[in-house]
Amino acid sequence: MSVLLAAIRKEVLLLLRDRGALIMMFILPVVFMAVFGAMFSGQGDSKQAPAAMTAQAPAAEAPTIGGIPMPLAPASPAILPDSFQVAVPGNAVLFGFFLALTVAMGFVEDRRSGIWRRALAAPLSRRTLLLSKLVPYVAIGMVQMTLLFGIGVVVFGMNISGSVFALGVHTFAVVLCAVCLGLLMASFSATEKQLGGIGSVVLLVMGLLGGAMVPRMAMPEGLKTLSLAVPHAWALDGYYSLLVVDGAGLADVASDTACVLGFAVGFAILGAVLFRFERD
Amino acid sequence: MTAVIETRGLGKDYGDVRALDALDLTINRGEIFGLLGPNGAGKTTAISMMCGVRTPSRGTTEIAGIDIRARPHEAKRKLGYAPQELALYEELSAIENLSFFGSIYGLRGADLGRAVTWALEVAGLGGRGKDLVREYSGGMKRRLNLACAILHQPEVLILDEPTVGVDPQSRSYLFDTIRRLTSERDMTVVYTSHYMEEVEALCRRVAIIDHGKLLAQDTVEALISGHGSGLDIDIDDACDADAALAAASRSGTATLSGRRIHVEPAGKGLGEMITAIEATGAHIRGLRTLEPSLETVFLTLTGHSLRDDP
Repeated sequence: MSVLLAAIRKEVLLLLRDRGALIMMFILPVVFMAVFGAMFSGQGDSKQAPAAMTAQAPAAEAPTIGGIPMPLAPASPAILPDSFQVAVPGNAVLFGFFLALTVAMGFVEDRRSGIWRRALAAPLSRRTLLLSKLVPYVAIGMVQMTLLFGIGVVVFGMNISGSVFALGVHTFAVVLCAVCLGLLMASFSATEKQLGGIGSVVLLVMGLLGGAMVPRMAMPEGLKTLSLAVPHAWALDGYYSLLVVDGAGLADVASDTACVLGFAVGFAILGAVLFRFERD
Repeated sequence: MTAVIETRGLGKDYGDVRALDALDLTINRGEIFGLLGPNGAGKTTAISMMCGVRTPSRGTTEIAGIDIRARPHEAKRKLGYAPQELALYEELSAIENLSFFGSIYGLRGADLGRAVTWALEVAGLGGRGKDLVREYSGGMKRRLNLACAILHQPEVLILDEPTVGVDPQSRSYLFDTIRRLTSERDMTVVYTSHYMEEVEALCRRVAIIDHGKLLAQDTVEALISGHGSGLDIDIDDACDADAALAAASRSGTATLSGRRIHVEPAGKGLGEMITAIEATGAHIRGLRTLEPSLETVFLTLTGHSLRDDP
């Protein structure tokens, strides 16, 4: 336990001294939220999503968020979605998953600098070593998401209609998934340069496909189905339900949260099997 | 003497490549033991397995009588390891680095604080502990790299190329520190390097490995008296080098590297050897007697060819 606490302290100190990472984690998402939120609210009704998001929407009787039909929303057309209920979770998920890149960079840097080699000579199991890198980022990711959603509520006036507790549990699953994806990315990358180039493109494409920038309900059917192959889609479906549907709780987003956790477990297992602390 | 490190048939394969064949080493308590070899000889592979960082393909390592594969945590508590790389967080201070690495050895609270203060003083960084490592010179980083390995006061300290890129003052300080750790704390040190003069100055016994094989293991004096004298003969480009080598071999052990024949021991039947070499049609362009030293031993055992492996 003391190793994990020391690791959390170390990673937090490293993060606080990395201006680029701080901007990426906290400043850029807020800027994007403001821009996307303003763009969405500027389309027709101030609380409606843009026309592009409604273009593919099915029958008018289906409740919508920003024009997006929501399967879990109660059958009341009176629900008026907040444009920031689209922009805030979208960008929180997009940038939240960029945590994977920070995690992967940490793994690869530690391998290059010989820190894993030093740590492997210490009386710790390899599982503890992996956890000492992953657990701090779960804590950091939770802080990031809490701040982003907090800013969404306080600054942008985003409404949370469902359970805040369920929002926290769902967010934990999302952060865990991002961190485990980081481990998997690290296992495929030999250098930081490789990661910086390929990793950020992969995360951007995943975000785009998963509906973080253009909500998936505005996508063509084929793409909408394909988007379920990335955890972002499940993460966002859960968020939309919890933000919009009055009283929505854990049971209402259980399938979304479970799918995100499923991705997390998959990434973790693959990453743990494939990751090499040292290059032969 | 009590053996603190014992390897028996320790070996490692990477696919079809045999990086280390079967290493038998016995290192005694309180000694500074040199592990020598050219680049790619297998030194780092050997110490990685001795530290439990890599899993051997065969053989065993015992640290103070504990098999490192059977009881890794127990054995590793007795080990301190400073890798060849500067395994430090550049954006943390020395104190923050030491605190983290101390915690992975189970130190905490007041014990950790005392260990950090002690290690900083040993490394000569007492006044700079709060500075970020990125602001340190190469020598200071090397000293901190060592400090991180001794925090938990291990019985065995394994140093992989600990003086790469340091100034003479820091090198001298590191040597003094290593000697103090052995004399005052009874630590056993395994020191890998390809700086012969360092090893000659620090170590009483050395092992020389190359191409994954143990070539020699003895005291420095014994190695020098056994292999240390030699003769380098440079021959012209046009001659039959194999014939010249065969001629030189009649006077001792001869090896060819490029257009240079190395013969040992030096001086035995020198005149006859020169005549024999010239009789093959070779023209001798230069001849040099090598002073007995560990470097001569090293070159005699490992050859003169360039090693460009990483």
